[in-house]
Amino acid sequence: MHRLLLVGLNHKTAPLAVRERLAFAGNQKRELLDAFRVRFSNAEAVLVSTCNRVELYTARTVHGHPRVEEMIGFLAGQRGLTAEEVEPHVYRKTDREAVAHLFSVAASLDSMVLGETQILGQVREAYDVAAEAATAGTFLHPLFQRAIAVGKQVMTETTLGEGRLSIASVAVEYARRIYDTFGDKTVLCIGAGEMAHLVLQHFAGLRPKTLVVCNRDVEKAARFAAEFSGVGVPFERLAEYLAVADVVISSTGAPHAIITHAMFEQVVKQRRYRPVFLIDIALPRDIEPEVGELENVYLYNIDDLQDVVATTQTQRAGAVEAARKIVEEQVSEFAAWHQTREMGPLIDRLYQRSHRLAASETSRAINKLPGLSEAERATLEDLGRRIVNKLLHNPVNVLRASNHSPHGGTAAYLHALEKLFKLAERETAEPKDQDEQAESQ
Amino acid sequence: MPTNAQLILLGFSVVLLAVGGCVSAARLWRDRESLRVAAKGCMYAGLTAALAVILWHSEQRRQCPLNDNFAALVFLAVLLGLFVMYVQRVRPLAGLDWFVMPIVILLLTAAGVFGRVDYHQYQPLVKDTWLWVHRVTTYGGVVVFAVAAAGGTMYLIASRRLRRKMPMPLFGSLERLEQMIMHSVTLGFALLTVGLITGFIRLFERDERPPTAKLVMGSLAWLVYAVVLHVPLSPRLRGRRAAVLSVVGFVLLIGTIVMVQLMPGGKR
Repeated sequence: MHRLLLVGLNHKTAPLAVRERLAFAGNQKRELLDAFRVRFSNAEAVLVSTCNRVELYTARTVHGHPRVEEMIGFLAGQRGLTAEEVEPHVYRKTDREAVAHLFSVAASLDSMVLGETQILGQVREAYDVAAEAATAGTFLHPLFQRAIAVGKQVMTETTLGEGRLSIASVAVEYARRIYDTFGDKTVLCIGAGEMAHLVLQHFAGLRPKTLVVCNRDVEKAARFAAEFSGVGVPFERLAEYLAVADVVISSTGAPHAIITHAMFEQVVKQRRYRPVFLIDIALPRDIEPEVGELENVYLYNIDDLQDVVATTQTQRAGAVEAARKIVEEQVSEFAAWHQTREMGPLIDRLYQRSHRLAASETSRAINKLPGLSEAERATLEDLGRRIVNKLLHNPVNVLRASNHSPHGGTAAYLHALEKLFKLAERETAEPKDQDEQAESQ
Repeated sequence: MPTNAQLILLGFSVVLLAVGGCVSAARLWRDRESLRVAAKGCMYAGLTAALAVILWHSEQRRQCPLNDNFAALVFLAVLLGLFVMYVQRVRPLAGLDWFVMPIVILLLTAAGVFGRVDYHQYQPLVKDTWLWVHRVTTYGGVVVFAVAAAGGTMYLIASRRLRRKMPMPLFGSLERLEQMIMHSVTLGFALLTVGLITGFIRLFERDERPPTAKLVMGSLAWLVYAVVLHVPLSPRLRGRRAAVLSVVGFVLLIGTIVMVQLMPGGKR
């Protein structure tokens, strides 16, 4: 029997400062999964790491590893942190609760911005990375495939995704609160990632005088900028462009801040104290928070923008309700499907073990009764089989029925069955020794 | 002196403007078209009533509106109110009326109070031209500086809300508010400068003892606005600092006006 475990933290449980320290970017996700495979070779794992959450899903046998505490220690250790540092912010979920959480995440019901579609892509990406790293196995493959399907279903069958505010649109709204016109303004974008693209798309709609993309890869910057009729510049010229930019969008994958307080203090003087709007959507943050304390500098990070989105979005209670209903139905369906899948081999093992015992006992009885005809032998063997079938018929029927019962309890039955009849795969491998022990007792 | 009926009409105008302001502020909680129309209606009606008071008062005395302190104050208030209405019609600036209309109400109330307890007529234009130029320019300056102060207050609030990352913009952009402050201060500064010069000329002409407090306060306000006007040259002053100075300058101007009313011979 498999157990699904989830440990993670998100925007509700951990502040940005903690999340950015535990965030896994690009190759770091793959590195974590490779390390996981080495350390817990019999378990499956998928890592979902976005700007709002870091969640590690694992599946293992009931008595296997990793345990929850091991998962927390492993996750923290991968980012050079101690378990104690992240533990206060971590939530733990198991089995059905973990499935429900994943489905809610994929359906964007757990997002700061209800109905945002980006999370679905991020869940899909997390699954793809795990599939590549071969850490998604027989349990996590179907689970994540189902989660992605649930996310899609919610987006197509409900109005959750309609009329929502995005981080980009909120950023533009804030820019409008600072500047009256944009025809004489310069927008600078640092980094050329997906998120930067999204935000830049909105700012390009304001028709700024100049649009500059600054990136370490100049060719990429030029390609990126060309989409918005802007210019690409190398990263070395960042300070020069900061002095002329009115709106700065920063979204790089840099591990440390690229715009420091000391650096921007000089920039502010060069700008002759003209107001500047800084949007830091990177994680870890690209701009030191102290920069926002400078005169005429308005700094917004991803949490600030998301907070606004979350508080100002219209109450779409009906859509949320409908989405939750879909998630609940899908969780029940998945649980039932999973239990059926777990139940089949277990019932098989139960029958096999019982028939093996019956056959062995019948054979011993036949040996003690010499002179039995073939027909009598067959009758005795048949008797043993029929007793086993009759004995197991009712319990197995009840077990199967529990799968469709609204009260559930199948997992408990399966676990009890496994324990009572010693049906765990490694235990059924040597039934003879156990049976002999039982007989001697 | 204004008649009781004129004062009642003036009071009615104040009530209408106050109700209009409250209805307009109520839109913060419930932004409905009906509220917007009601607020606008009240304000137009209030200003029309105030304008009617001036016309009635002038017609009764067969004089132009700026011939006594009662009419002058009502005229200033109407001018300020019309400016707000004009801006809101041509290029709306959310929240402008919340800051300027209280000044309008204050001026109308002051007109009512002074018209009743301390009514006095001004010297005719032909007899004292310098005094007339002085009055028109300083009063005009006060009106324009009131707009600058309103812009400054709005800027400070808007900037604070932006720093605190509060949603829901209440006013226009910081850039527009800063432009409004600078334009108002530039115009007001020119008017105040003329007002100060003509004031000095009149003092020298009549060989009068200068009222020290009025001179000091007026000059201080002039200096503050001169500093604000330096923003393009000294960018350190831009933004919040310029907004604070525009409010400080207006407070000094109001102080000067109050002092003029209180000091002996100030009402000359």
